[in-house]
Amino acid sequence: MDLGLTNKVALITGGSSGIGLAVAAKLAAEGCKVAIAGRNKTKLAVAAAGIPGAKAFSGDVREPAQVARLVDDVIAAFGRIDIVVSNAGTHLPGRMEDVETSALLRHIETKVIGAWELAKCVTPHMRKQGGGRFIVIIGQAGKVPQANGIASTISNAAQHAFVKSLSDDLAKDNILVNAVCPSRIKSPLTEALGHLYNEVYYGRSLEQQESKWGAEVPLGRWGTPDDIANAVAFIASERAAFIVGANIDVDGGHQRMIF
Amino acid sequence: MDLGLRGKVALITGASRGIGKAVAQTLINEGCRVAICARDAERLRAAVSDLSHGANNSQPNDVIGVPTDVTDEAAVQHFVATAHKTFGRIDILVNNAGTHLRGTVDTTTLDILNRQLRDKVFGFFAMIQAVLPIMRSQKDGRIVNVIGQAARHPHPDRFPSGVTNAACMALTKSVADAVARDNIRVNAVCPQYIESELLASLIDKEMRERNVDRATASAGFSRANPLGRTGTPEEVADLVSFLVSDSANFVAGSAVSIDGGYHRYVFG
Repeated sequence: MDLGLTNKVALITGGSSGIGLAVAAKLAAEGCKVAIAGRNKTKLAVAAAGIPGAKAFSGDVREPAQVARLVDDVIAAFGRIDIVVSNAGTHLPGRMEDVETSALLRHIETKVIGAWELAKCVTPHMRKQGGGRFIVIIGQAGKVPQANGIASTISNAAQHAFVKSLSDDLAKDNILVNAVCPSRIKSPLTEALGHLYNEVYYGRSLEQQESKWGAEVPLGRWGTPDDIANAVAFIASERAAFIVGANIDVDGGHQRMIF
Repeated sequence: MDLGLRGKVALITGASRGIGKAVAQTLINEGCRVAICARDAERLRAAVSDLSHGANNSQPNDVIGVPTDVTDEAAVQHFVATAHKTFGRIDILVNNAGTHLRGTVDTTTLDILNRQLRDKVFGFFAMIQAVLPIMRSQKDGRIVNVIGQAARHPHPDRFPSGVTNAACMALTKSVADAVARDNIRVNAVCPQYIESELLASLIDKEMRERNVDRATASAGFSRANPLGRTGTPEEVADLVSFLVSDSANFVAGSAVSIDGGYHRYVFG
């Protein structure tokens, strides 16, 4: 299938590892010029070096001035932005009494306000170009509230509302906003969580944890960052020009919603 | 993107026109061999002929058509057995047969509701049951149900479709759970306002019932979503092709909207 992505410019936040890095590599393989953004300059440089033609841009999406500069820098480097993949952010585990209010705020600033700021900065450019794609990666805590996950559930549900509302605002300008919803993906993030869950909540070894992880996914196994990258590449492509305000679960059947 | 579909065998129901026919053509273009069915034998023959000659990389014997009413269990068994005998395997099922019956709770008769449920819920179910043993023996299968947005967007005048499509969504998730461990992935695509004979008939109905001209009646549909246009059968076919491909190997139990932003679910 020809995705029509040749020479499109794609900006991926949280692009130096895990899902973001896999998305960047996939889009580059499909012919995109790729800009990856992240906070850690060293990790970014290593990541960019592994992707042909990729450029690295350091910045924290929690800082509006840095988001504006990021978009300006990408435009200066590539001349346009066709695709944004808003992927920055992590999972904040814990029960209500474990999560500091300031940590929840930072979490929401990264995942919701950061994406909002990015959309505000990139939209004028996409309008001028006659359209674009804005794809938000939303962890399934938004659809599947879980034990020890209240902060992520709140932020991810807000991300879903943001995606649907923004898609309504921007569709008339041919800027298509959608979400890809991963769960049960093997990545540095989930590896770290395994240790943390093991230590803090369950008192089970990582091996015991991992043996349970597959069991709770209908497909019986975990996915990989590449599985997410494939879905992002399709949603970003010219083959998905009628898909607006939608989301696609890439979770081995984990989430429980019928609709 | 290499979808990894070369040599796969796909069954598509309701494929003599519209979305089903576009799905067949797109899968042929990706290298699949296809078996299609529809109730109208004459129209099915024409579709097989179009597909055979329209594909840029298929031989005429890569497409077969079997006239089938999916509400008839024996006919469904015959269709699946014929396809299996012809091609030796069945990798993909696209459940697309079924129409969209409009009406309110007052105007819908038991007969109409029965017909709508039989076409889609029973038809989808019968096809899935018929292909499952084959897919299980292969330890691989991909099923996509085409379910219009009447499920996510109930409307007083879409009573039969709303009820039926909601049931189809439940069927999708439930079967997805049941067969995932056999490496069979079941998903749904949810289109709305796609340029097809179905939409043309809805436009005719608007013209009749509201006494408006064609342009006015059509504009109502193309303005019905944030994108401001209707979709094409080929666009739905591209999404179906992605979902049945190797590129979507971790996508199961998902229902993906393709509607220009029409539906109002935040989580849908």
